[in-house]
Amino acid sequence: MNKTIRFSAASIAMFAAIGMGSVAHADTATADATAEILDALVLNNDGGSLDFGTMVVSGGGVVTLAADGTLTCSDPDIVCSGTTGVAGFSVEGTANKAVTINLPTGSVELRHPSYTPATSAQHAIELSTFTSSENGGTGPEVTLDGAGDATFDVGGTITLDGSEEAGQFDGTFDVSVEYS
Amino acid sequence: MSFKTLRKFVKHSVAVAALSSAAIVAHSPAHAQGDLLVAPTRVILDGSRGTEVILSNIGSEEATYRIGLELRRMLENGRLVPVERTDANSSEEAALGMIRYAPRRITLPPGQPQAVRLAARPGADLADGEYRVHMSFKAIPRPREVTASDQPAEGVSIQLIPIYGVTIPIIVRQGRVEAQVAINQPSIVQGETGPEFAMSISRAGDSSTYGVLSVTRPGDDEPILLLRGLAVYPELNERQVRVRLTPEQAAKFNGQVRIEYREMPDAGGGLIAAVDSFLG
Repeated sequence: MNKTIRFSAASIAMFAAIGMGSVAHADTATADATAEILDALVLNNDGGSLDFGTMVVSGGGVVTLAADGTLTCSDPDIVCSGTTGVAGFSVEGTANKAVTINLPTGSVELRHPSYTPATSAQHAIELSTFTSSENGGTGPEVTLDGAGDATFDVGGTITLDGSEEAGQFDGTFDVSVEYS
Repeated sequence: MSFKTLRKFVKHSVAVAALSSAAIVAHSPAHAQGDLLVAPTRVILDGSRGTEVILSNIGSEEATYRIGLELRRMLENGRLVPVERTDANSSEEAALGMIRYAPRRITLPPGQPQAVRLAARPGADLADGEYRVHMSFKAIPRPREVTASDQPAEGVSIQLIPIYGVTIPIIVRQGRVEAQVAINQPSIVQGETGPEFAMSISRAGDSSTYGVLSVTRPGDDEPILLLRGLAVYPELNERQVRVRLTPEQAAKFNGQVRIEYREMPDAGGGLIAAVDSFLG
């Protein structure tokens, strides 16, 4: 969990402009001060990583962590425990603009520390079907509110074949945002 | 001038209801290492002049960012879908080939911005038109050491770290490019969460359009709806626009309105398309 002190889109823009080193030249005594205002887009990872908790696996099955945080772990051969968490993000930018969220369309492989290609059955888990809590007409999309803020969460589905060795499986997945 | 993004982390205290023999898994706290700001959010290159994009580390820790070029195509509803390089068409390949930028990897302490310089080097025989790539700025997660305490004695746990970032369009205009634009079928429709303003923009020609959409009632100074940064890319002949309305806005959406699609004020604010319509 995470608290961010919010700053306005205007201050982002100012900051960016000053970061660029743009200087308002005063050529005459009555010169206007000018500042370049740039639109900025900010992405924060507030909710950490996608965490399925701990699973004791005695057979194959599927575990789904929905983007709203609901865990579905109903296969009898898998016992889920521990804290789960979706990956939460916040976006800051221009008010009322739509932002496309890009999630992996394929699957991602998670690997055990002792992974080798020969032992991929025990040492790899496939995570597929990334889902977003915010969706537009045909896919993940979020509209920034009047203050230029929005949040979204990412969930996913893992498929276990029952032979996974105990341990922590690590992996990464790509998330990016862009103004629609 | 400076601003700080303060973060407080409440440790994910993992209250594992320990199964008879399952060990307790202590997860490392979620440090938002790699939070980022990118400005501007759109770049147009015409001629040989280059420009700069600012990347700033607004996270609480030092972070390394990778800067790359990707391809996107816009769908009719305005969403941008990724396109693999192997599926690139000739115009997209040309765009990938002409963009020069540096650096490609930046390590920044918290609060520190840095400029990424970029320029287009179009070939001499490049056909007139608009070429586009999307520049991505992504934080690379710091390699994490796996310690013995991370490993549950029994059971499987999963650590899935997001590599997250921002992408912005980089548009190269070669020669003279034009677009013809019209606004069609403005209406009020019932969306999932309430009333929405819907319309479509039809576009022809080689150029994209980008600007502000405003809806104004005759006699009012202030528009009842203002949508900044609406883009229609050349791969589209038609784009749908849907905007959620507040109840106050929705109440004003009846009778005669004027809908205008203008260039951004810093681009001159020229009128791209307009229509007078009767809603309700």
